[in-house]
Amino acid sequence: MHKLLLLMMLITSQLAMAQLPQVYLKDIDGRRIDTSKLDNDGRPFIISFFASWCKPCLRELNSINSQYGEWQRLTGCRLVAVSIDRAQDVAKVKPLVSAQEWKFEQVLLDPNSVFLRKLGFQMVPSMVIVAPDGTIVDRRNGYVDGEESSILDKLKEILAE
Amino acid sequence: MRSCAFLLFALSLSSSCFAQGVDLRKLYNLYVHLPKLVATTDALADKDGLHANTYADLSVLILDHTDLRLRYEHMTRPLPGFDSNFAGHGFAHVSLSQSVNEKFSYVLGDVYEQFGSGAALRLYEDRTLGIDGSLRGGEMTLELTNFELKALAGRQRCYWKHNKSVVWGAEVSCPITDVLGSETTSVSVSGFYVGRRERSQEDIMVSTNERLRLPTLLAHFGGQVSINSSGFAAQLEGVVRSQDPSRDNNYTYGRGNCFSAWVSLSKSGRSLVFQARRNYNMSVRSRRSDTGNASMLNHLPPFSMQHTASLMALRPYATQTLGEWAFQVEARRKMTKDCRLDIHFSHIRGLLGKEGGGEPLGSDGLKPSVFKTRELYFQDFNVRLAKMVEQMTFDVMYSYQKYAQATIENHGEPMIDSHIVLLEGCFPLSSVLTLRTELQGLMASCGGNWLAALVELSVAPKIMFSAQDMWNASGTEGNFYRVGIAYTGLLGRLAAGYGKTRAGYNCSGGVCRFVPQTEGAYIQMTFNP
Repeated sequence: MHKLLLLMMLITSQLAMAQLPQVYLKDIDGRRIDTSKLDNDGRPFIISFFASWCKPCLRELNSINSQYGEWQRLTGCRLVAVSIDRAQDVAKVKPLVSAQEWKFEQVLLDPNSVFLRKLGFQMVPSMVIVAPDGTIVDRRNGYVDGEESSILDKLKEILAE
Repeated sequence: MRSCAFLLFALSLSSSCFAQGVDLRKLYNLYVHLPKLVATTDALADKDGLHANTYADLSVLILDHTDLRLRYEHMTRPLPGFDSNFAGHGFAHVSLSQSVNEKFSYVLGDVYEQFGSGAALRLYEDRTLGIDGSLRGGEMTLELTNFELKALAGRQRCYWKHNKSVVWGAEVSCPITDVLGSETTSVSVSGFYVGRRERSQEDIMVSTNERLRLPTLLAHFGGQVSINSSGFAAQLEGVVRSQDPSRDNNYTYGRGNCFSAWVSLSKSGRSLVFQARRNYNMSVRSRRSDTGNASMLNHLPPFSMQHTASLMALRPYATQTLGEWAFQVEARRKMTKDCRLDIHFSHIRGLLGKEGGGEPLGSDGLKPSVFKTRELYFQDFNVRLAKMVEQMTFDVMYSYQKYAQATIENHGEPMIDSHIVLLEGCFPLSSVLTLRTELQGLMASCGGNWLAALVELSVAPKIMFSAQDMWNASGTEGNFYRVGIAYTGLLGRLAAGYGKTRAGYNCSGGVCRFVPQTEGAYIQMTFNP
């Protein structure tokens, strides 16, 4: 019975593109956000999960931040950063964003990792790239130094389609 | 192994369906979309054989806002550090959630949830620690004008079963920003309640013919206020609980409480955070006789910096739920365009005069004064300077830690003082090659001095090679090495290598699991297309 269920799971998994799940989170200014309604006015956008203590996450976001203006000029993209810091560490997120001078338009708080889990991730850094029609077209687990150029290439590819 | 082979077979079968032109997509997409499978395996092959923790998560979105989730777990020989209770396999998570409309949604099956900061209730999953605190039952959420109500009930998962006690709870939160009519200031107020009904399943004797009467109905409740206005943010939270004699508090009848507050100031290029928390008798479980990480209903992370460097995390602190006062300050500043300075300080002291569990069985427990503190449990002071020179980045960090090993681990030294230095550099060698190096040194008052080095070569965007070694310079423990390669592709991530890991505590958010020394080949695979 377990094997039959597993077989059905694997077959059905091949069939469709993913959409964003609905989770209610707060942003760093205390506003409530419905994740299923995240969009970018007909342009692609990125959702990047991080934690204030996660060094590869900070390297990745700092690197993207340094090129963010250029990325927006070339692709019109935007990045939504989602923190999985929990309990009292939530207090450190807004100060971190200010101190690092991140230019990202939205920073959300996911203290119980609900949105992270619903997107199929367990660890940070993790990232999805969402096409203009709201489908997830790229998923990344972990971070390899220098992979930002491949993210930009993917954004350009989405725009070209 | 059989599960992995079976998964590979099923993958090839599903691919062949498309090769033969059977387009199930059109049929399925009439009713079903977002079917998604994620499989992860963490395996170690050592002299005792193959150990593996495998998870397969399937989520299916039906008719837009109805979401079915299944998780299959396979741990017939779990990783070292996971005790025999973890051994087994089966469908560990089943849930159906639906957003009926914009005002009402529900979940049937296994529920994860957090009330407030988690001091009252935090049901979560952490696979590195083997934690799955889900409730099997249901939850509903109601959104009305200016407030949100959540209510849940169920029985908590404990390894491969569910505890007999029934847990229920509710949270009401009210964003009063709209009422105030301010666009730059948000205020939210919330209140929560968690109840539990647990029939006593053990006889706790205080004498040969006297048995403790353990309460059946238990509860705790609390509230939180948060304010956010431009660069200022603050939060105040309090939780109180009824008498709940358990193994954690030596079956005493004191009422527990937890109060926390934080304030932060943020401005472009600089920030300051100040936090304080006092907790007493706040280990809340769905089965009072459990210990370790089993059956926890709440979560109190440590009030200390979360370190990721190996020597800085050598002696991680875990919250002493029997009682502590904790303070934490963090300041960040951008000194110049390419230079940043971070300073962090935490200080944690006990409330009780004795080490935990010392109060007589069946007593009212100690009633510590609100502000009086006793011995130091943990203190750390961290300074970090990060500088960018052209495309290279340099990081220097110093940490001074005081760790009361005898109190925290119930063995060892009264206090261990450690000075730790970390030197880190990141050097882009070409458009695709990046070299990252780390050098650490630890000098401790006891337990030996340590050196550690790490080299990572990244070949963007998919491959990373790494090598690291941790060497006990005092010669008492030898050296612990690890080499590996990680590949990230369209289907997910694969990491493999070989190494020797020191025995110690693997901690995540202050919850720790003891891991014995291991040596062997490891594989970590995530299938996540």
